[in-house]
Amino acid sequence: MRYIVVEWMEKKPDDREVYRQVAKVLGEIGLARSEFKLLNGVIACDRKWVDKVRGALALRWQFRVKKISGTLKGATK
Amino acid sequence: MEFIDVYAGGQDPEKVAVADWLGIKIAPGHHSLLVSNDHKKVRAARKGVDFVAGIPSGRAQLNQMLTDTHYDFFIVHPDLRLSKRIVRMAKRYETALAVPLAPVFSLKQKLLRRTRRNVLLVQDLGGTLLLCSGAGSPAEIRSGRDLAAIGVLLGLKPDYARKAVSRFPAQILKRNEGRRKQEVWGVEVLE
Repeated sequence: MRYIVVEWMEKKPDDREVYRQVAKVLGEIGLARSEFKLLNGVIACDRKWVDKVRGALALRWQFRVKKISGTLKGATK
Repeated sequence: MEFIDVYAGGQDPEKVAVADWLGIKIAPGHHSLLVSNDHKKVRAARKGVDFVAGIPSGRAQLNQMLTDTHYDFFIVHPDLRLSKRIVRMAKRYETALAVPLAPVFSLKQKLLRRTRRNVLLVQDLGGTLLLCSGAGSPAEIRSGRDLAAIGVLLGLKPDYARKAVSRFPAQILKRNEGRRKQEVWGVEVLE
């Protein structure tokens, strides 16, 4: 798993909106296989799906990745 | 790793500010860019700009423009369907093909399909692909890794997608630096 801390350029999107966007781009199967999760604003997904999840978010929002870690503790430290 | 967006639409200071925040260099802005289909204008201004590009309206025009070595890359919008012959020709003339990703933000199936087809064709035939934003507004600027990630989403290999935003534009800049020292553009005198 990878835990990604994101800084949004404009207003932080709603969690539901983020889920909907990822599901729309990757599809329901992709969403399940990527193990995409939002944990208190930290994006979590399978290691091999990082690029695709990032691409799905980049299609709609401007953001920059502040930290990317293999553990949730490392990401939120 | 430095990321360069070789075509970020028209010049706008707001775009440059956004690009600075996202950590990407853009043209026009950080680098100078001339977009023109006029050969005379391109030849006259060539030495003074970092990148020179053309926006061909169709395959026939692209075919004709590819033989001009003054161009660094051609911007291929989704309405232009690349062919194997064109990609091979671009490869032979060491000219890159830039694919703007801003049209894909609408998530329209038709645009996604056409863009995907174009980028995969360039990758499969070993051409030089440039992923650019083609931003119409500052909101359409994306960071280098995000452009590469969209490329991966379209089916590109991760390494190749990253090269399309960092190494390939840097190679073009380096090549132009060398060519500026030449008396005639693209003609090297060997002693």
